[in-house]
Amino acid sequence: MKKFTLIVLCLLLTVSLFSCVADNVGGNSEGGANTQNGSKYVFNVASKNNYCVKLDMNMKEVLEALGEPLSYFEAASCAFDGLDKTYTYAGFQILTRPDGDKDYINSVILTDDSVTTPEGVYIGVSEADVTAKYGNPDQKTDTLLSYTDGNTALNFILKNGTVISIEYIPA
Amino acid sequence: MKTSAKKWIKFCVSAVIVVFTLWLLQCLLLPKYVTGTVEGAFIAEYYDEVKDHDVIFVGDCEVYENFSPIVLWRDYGINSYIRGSAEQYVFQSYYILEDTLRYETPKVVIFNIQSLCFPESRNEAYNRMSIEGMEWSFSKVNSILASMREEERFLDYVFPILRYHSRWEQLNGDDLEYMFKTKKVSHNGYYMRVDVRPAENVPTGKPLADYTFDSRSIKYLDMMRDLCAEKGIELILIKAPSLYPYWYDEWDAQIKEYSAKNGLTYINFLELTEEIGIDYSTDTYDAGLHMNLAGAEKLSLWLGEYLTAEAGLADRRSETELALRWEEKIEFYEAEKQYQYEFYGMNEKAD
Repeated sequence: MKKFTLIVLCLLLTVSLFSCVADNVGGNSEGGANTQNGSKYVFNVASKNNYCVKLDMNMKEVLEALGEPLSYFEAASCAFDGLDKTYTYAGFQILTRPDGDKDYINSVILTDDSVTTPEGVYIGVSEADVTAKYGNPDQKTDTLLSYTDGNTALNFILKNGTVISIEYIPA
Repeated sequence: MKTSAKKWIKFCVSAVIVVFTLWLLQCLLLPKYVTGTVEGAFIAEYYDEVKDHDVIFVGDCEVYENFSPIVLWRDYGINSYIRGSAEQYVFQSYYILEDTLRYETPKVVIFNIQSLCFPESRNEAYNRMSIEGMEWSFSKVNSILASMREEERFLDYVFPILRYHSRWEQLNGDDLEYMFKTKKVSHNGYYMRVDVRPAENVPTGKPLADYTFDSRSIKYLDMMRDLCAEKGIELILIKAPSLYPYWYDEWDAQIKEYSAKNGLTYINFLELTEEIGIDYSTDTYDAGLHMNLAGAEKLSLWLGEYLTAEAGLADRRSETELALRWEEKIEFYEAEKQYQYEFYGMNEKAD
């Protein structure tokens, strides 16, 4: 009987150990707020006293600072609770991801030349203007200049050497 | 000698008891997908079917929420099944198709191409819903290998208890009630929603640095094309009329070119919404991402007409045994329709 108990305990312990490893590495990758890593790449909203918008900020605080957006869209994740939300303001969009009952900023997209990055780059400038302000990119193709710092990648999308979109996305 | 035999017997009995206990635990802890997130049950439901379908759909939510096999049968006598799951990636669709063809050879396979924009899995939970319901086969093994994210382990798919042991905290009545059995939650793979939420403020797509589909996505599309060709099945590519995620013109052009080059039919339903009569203020339940029942039935009527006229599918409603099976399915469909109209407090009733 003792041997039987010992075998059962050993097997359950083994499974339990495996389980703990599995649980640590598996799981839903919807992700939570990652506020530990900041970034030097942030977006300042000039019309709101240069209010600083950063990835992973709680959207509730941002809404309090920026006020109601011009338009709002929400998309349910396939099969899961929670909504991916898009807040459209003049010149930029903020996209959030859900985590529990909170929403965190997942990306910021500049949509026209009425807004600029804090370094003074805006839609319509040339590739050379970008590198003059930011230096050599971490990643470069004919259509992309990408700069990464901390949790944020600042991407300049190019068409024929001109910036057509600017986005702050997770690194 | 007798002592040695006794020891072996004791050992074997102990081992059987342990394995049985672990199996019971696994039955208890596995997600049941019978309420709430029912999409996780769709893939497994197929195996209970009599497998002589004319049409098999494969793809993500853009197939299982947008097309009603019941309408295809009721109005055109087409026997179809949707093998779709949430965010089912192209490599998973390929292996699910391969798995399906172990059992039957349909005349037409319809694949929704939205997932080509995801060459790699984005979420372990979606992998689970697409793969766990598959019966064990080389197709399932290969689907796991193609899908696993860096943090995943093959063994966790073989012994799901390793993955789900922490569900203790989430157990509810369903876990006990459906520990050894399950209940049907889809209508030949179709997920029904009757409620309405009009499409408003749908954002256009942000400019991308590169619109070219990744070679890994195209590789699996090629494999799907070859598999269908080998079996003499007509492969039809579709883009469902979902307004979000955004479907870029550049993506569409690549699919048109691919289809033309490979002699495949490509139907972009986004270009046919007027002809079909889709009204995004009444025919979607989630602001344009997916059709509700009204929208799905409109799409299915158009598709049934097309499959009959262009793919030459015969009306099988005169096959007694098959018709009897569908009678049951239609009954289940109508009952859920009525239940949902009441649940959502809608005045509109089914025909």
